Order: sequence, then structure tokens, then C-alpha cells
Amino acid sequence: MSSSASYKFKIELNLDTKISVVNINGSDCGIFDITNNFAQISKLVIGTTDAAILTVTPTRVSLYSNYLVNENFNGFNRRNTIRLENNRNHVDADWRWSRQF
Amino acid sequence: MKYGSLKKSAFFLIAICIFVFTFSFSALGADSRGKVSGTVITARNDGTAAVSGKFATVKIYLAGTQTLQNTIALEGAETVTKNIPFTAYLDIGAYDLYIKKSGYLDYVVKNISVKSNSAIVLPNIELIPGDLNGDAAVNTSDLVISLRAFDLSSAFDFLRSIADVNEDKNNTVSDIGIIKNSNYFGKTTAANTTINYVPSFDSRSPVSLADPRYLIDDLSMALSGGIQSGWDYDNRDQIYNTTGITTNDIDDVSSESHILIKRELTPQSTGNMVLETQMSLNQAQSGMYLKFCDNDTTVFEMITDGGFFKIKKQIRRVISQRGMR
Repeated sequence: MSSSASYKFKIELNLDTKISVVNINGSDCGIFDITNNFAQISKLVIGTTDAAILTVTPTRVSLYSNYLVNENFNGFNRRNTIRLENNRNHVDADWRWSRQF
Repeated sequence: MKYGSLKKSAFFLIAICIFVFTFSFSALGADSRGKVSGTVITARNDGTAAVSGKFATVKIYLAGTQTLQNTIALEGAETVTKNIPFTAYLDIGAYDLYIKKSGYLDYVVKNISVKSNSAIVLPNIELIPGDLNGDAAVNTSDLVISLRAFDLSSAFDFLRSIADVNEDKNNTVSDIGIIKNSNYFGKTTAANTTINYVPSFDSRSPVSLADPRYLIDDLSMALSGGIQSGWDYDNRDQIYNTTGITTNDIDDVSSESHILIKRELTPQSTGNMVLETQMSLNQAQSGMYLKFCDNDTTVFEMITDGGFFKIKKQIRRVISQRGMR
């Protein structure tokens, strides 16, 4: 990661299978277990440790439950056009670009 | 002499090939394992410690065989809950699970098909207590044993322990009552606690679509009034720091205290939750975190540490990982 940059996170938590899927800036970072020892999720916290000196600037936070597809192609201020050229910058978040039809 | 040297080289080459093949194969196997998890429910009262010699185990066999693949100890002296979660990581294949606990009917789940990276969650496994003599049935013979345990001296501690169904360290009418309970008495392993696993689609629990909803929908955090009002902003140890109050910049300016923003949610216990967020990080190679909590218990936590995003330690196992530490 860069010391100063803007990041887009998509974190999916499946509370039934206790699995999380992490995606940063459109890149699939992997699948991780979440702890088994919880009854529910009731809080989202973004913060810093005592020792840290840094700045966090959240610009958008959306958290939704049980939407399988929820995409307006405008969310991250990218152009919502998909062109037939080798350019991955025109689709949103974690969509996969493919020309192999 | 030359022949001997050639023989040595050939042997060395073969050894290297075997090592490389074995290493590659085991690495491949590690990547393709699936997860099987579930919760075993005993008749012990919550808060009562498990009794040594009666600890429950899960034994995993190749399906239809007696080839033992894995044994998981479910309980120990410190176990004080009646519900005991377990997780097994298994190579691709079909398995039979035997959940065994002394004084209970075996619970058998057959034909669990593990696929690559699958996550199978078994229905709750409620063990049936009362099979004191281990004949795979809860019947009058077990009642007789339970009654006789009243009169046994300490020389027969093992039998008294077996008859102590609720594991309260005493042989009382409560134990007999459990055996006589119509939910248990007359039950057999063959008829009541042997099931064939029926996978759901894609081996995942179905996701409920009954109640889809936004939990947070703050498309812009950059209001002139600072962080959106639904968030609790905690900078109490940096009292002269007013960032976050007038803008959405949250500056942690102290190396001795922290800052956080917190959002209480409608509690979620099932289904799929998806967070989409965008944030700018400045000088945040280490020390920033984002976490989901169950009250004070951290369920998921991503941090920055040494210039990397990391998933923190309470995450027990990485199933697959790409470009992340």
C-alpha cells in the first residue's frame, strides 16, 4: 500500500459460513475465516491505534445485507461505460473485465 | 569408480525429484481443502465443566470405510458450555463424521462431499444422552445402570461417571429423568442419529433474500458539518483536536491516544453483509483499523501494519489469499 492514497474496500461477510471475502481497489485479496465465537454483528468501527499518527478520510460508507447484486456503476465516480478495448478502468469495484465471450 | 559416482548422482537426482513432487503435491492439496463446521449440543448444563473420560470427539472417516482421517477433541476440562462448535479442514473427497461421547448415542453424518474451498455448515447436532452401556440404544438396561449407580461406592467411579448424564458430578434422579425423557428413551443410533448429508446448492448455506436492506447508506461523508450524524465520534483523549467535527478528515495527532468513529447497526446474525467504503489514508502504513464487532468481541478486523493491509489474528485461518498478508 502507499503511505497516502485513496482506497476502495469491499468486504463481504457471510455470517452463515463464517467466511469473509476482501477486495481492495478492485483486486481480490482472498477469502478468510471470521471468528466463530459471536452471536451477531452490531457495530462497525474505523479507528487508529494509540501509537499511530495519521489521517483517515472516509468519503463513502455503504453496508447492506442480502443484496446479491447491488451496482449502479456510478458509485466510485468512474465512467459507467464499458468499451470494447483493453481498458479496465471503466467498470466498477470488483467486477471482472472479460473479452472472452 | 566412475560407475559409483554416476550411481550417486542418479540417486541424488531422484531424491530431488521426489522432494519437489511431494512438496508441490502437498502445497496443491493445502490450497484445495474445504471446511466443514457445525455445533454439537450436549445434555450438560451450561456452566458445568465437562467430565474427564467423557469428552466428546469428532472422528472423520473416508465415506463408507473405517479409514480414520482425523480426530477432533471437542471438549476438555475447561469446557463449560453445552454447545460446542467445531471446524475441520479436509481435502477434497467424501467423508463420514462420527460424533462420539461416552454415555450418548453416536451421531453419524454420512457422505459429506467436500469440494475445493467449499464451506459446509452442518445442521446443529443434538446428541442423545442415555446410552450408558454403549449398545447404540437408550433403553431399560441404561435405566437400570443409572439406578444402580446410586448405590455404588467410590471404587466404581468410572461407572458412576458414565451414569452422571448431566455431568454435575452427582448421581441423582435428574440423570434418570434425562434417560426417561421421551425425546431420548427408545432412541437408537441406527434410526435416530444417523443421517445422510444433503448438500445445499454450491455447498453454501442459502442466503436469505427475505429482508434485504441497507444498514448504512452514507454516500457522502464529506458534509460541512463533519462526519455524518449516525456515527459516534470518539476523540476524547485528544481534546484540542477538532478534526472530524467540521470536515470528514479524522486526524490522529497524538502518539499516545487513538481516535475512532463507530456506527451501531441493526444486529445481524445470519445472511450476507457487504461493506463498500472508500477512504483516503494519509501516513497510514501502520495503525489504522476497520472492524466489525459483536458488542466488545471483534468478529473481523483489517489493519494496516508495516505498509500492508492485514487481516488480524482472531481470524483463525486463511482459506485463500492473494496479494495480502
